[in-house]
Amino acid sequence: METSDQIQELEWPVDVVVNVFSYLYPRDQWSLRCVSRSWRSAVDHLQHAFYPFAILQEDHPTIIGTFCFSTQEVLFVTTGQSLQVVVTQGKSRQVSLPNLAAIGQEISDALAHVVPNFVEPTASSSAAGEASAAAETSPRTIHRHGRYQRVLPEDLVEAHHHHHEVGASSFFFLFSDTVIPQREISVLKESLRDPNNSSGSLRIITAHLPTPDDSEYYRSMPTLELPLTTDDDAERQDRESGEGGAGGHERSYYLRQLEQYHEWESTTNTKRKKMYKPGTVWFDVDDGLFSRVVETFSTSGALHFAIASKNPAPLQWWVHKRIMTTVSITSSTHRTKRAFDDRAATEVVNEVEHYNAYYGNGAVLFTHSDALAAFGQPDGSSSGFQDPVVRQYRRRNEADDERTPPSCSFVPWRGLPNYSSLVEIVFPLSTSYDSSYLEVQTSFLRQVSNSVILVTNGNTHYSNSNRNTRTGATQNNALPASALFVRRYPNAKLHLGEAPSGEEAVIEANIVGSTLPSYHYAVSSNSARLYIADNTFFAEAYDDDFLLPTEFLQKIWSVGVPRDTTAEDSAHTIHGRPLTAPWILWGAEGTYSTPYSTPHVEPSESCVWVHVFEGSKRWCVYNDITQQWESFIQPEGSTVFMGKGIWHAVINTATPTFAIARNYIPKADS
Amino acid sequence: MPEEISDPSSVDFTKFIVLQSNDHPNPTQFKVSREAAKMSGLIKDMLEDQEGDAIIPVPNVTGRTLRFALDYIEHHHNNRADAIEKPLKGKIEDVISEWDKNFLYTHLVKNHDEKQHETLIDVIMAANFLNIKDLLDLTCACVASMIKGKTPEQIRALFNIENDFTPEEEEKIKEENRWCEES
Repeated sequence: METSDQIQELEWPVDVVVNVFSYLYPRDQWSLRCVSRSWRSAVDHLQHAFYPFAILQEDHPTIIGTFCFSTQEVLFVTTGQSLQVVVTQGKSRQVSLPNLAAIGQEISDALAHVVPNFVEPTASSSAAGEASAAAETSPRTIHRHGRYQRVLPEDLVEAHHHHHEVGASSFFFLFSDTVIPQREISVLKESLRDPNNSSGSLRIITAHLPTPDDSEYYRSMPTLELPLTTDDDAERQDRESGEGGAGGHERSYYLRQLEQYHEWESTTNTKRKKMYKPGTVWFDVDDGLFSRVVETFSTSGALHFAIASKNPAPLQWWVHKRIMTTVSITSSTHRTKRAFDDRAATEVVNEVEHYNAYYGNGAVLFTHSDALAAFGQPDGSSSGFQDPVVRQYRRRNEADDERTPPSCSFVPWRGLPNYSSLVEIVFPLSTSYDSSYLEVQTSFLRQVSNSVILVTNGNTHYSNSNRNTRTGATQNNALPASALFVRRYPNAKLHLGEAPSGEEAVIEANIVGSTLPSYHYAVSSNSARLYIADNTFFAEAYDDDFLLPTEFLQKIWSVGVPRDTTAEDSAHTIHGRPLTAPWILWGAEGTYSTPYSTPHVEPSESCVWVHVFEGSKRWCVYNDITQQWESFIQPEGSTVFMGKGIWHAVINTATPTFAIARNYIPKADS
Repeated sequence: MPEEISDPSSVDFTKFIVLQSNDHPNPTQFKVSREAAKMSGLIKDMLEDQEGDAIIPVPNVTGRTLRFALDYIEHHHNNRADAIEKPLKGKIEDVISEWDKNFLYTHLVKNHDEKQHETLIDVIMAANFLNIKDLLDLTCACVASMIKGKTPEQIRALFNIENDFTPEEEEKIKEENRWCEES
């Protein structure tokens, strides 16, 4: 009846292709993706579909968590006594869970509301199924294995046992990019069955989620009925954030931001694909912060990104202006073998540029999920970040001083436990230092470091011969970046960052022994606290081989930097030096650059990229909407973008930490 | 088989509805029980929205295709097919009922020859339009079964899909998927 020609003109509807796709294994899915543009976009569509739901705790009218999925399948495991689950898609529905036995059915029902024709499958299988994330929440304890981390059944079991000891009700969820193999579910069921639990009513529910219907779907994504702050609260916030002129009420400000965003999106040519509707709320169980999706996009099938703003005040979840964003490049089933895609990265950099131009400011951490995962387990355990220390800091008096760091804040400390004693040094209440302070710093260094640190007559030597090769993320060779650097430039003279006394010292880096693998190096200086912050070196020698291993980094360094240095361009300087010269930032654990150890904004209204080649840095970033400090760790191999005008402070959290930073004036301003 | 009628006035509209295909100038009319017709999400919504006589024109769907869709509905509305496992294990023939197999491989994929799938595609589009989920799943799984193990070129040839990638794009996609072939 139909001829071939007629078929050729046939447009395959997205949901048909996606439906076909769902019956295929990943390998076949990829070939489907290669057929044509429309098929490709359909397949991408499925991979980036997200599903929202929220969990409420029954005895508190508080949302414990709001989650989105990019999955075909969700696995719930619950052992709790009472939980309230709200699954939202357009409408919200509350499900009361009065007893253990009913939980499974209730979640099924709730899911059925989200998922038409939801059935509890009797069997499912896949050769390639794997979990990509999991979380557990409870009224008091929040315990997690990392948002983007792969979670194996063992992890879940461990989490469960941990929780069982605590004795609280718990709720797990596990979601997967592909169907979870039946045998894994069996293992889970078996492992989670607690012999001491006579009720034996543990339920595991597997949900096959359908593909959402594109735009209709996004329009109908959840509107969470969170309690709103009063107008008084909002106005007070406006006043305090000093942005009243920018939009009056914060909420309308946010709405306008959204409008701007949509306008921008409609005019930009960048290939992009939204995965979440801006406004979706996340709850970060690590630090108890709410996050709101401001913008998400995908620049390539191999990567996806989530930009979420963090807000420690859950009931003011729409209030955002300057936000801390996290861009995570996740590995999933289909993408584990893809390294960071340089072309995609370039697009990301452009996106961030746009983003920065429109939203003004933001701090962005670029990281490989692998690096993040590895970082979370410095000693092979997963307990690296589960010991938060919260410190209160007093409000400073000089509130009118433009350069005064924000205060009235707490700093959630998420570093390794034995670093916590350094917190007070990271944020001293006074910026005036004395010699006793220096000594304290030095002794802390000795105390906390697991590397060899010698302090003799004011000279610091440190060796990395026992260096923990924990991440392996160093660029494509066995030597750490700092060692490569020294070997490459054996006679380099580097400037020590301004010492607390104000003097600037020049140090020399030498290779002591250059034979692999017993390589080590030493740097000496006339200061007890070694921290190199040098931007003169690369003003003269600029070595692409060493410093710019990827297109991504090249892009970062070239962003905002004019190709030809004209007189006008060189007017944009930092401390009298051209912006085009990157900084070498090199120091031991616990060190930082003064005066930039204390909360500061980048000078000359500039932004900065910081790439950590080796070691790690802890960042504290001030959210001036919530007036809270927010903290995150920058692992090895990751890059941080710090927008202009954002108060922040940085400390090295590994010995040695070797990083390159580059300041620049954003295009939007120049 | 779906009952084709010529005079809708004789239909008991409390129990039945009439679906009218889009053939011009002589549309085909089928009498379908209300209960069965509700397998179609589209028609279910329409029936809920409006009362009374129901002669529902179905745009986009020819009488020939509609007949297959209704055939499926009538067979399955009291006898739902088991969901087909995702992803598909092996070939689809092994996991579906005898009736479904005959349904697929007699007319939709004519004589079980996967090159003669024009009707299958028509039925997919009709199932998609009418929102008959089970039928859409069955037919899509059938397409998936045909696609399995094929290269993009073979898929294009099979379904007569134009390759609208530029050479650069194609190269990029190949590059992205190289690991897939290596593993």
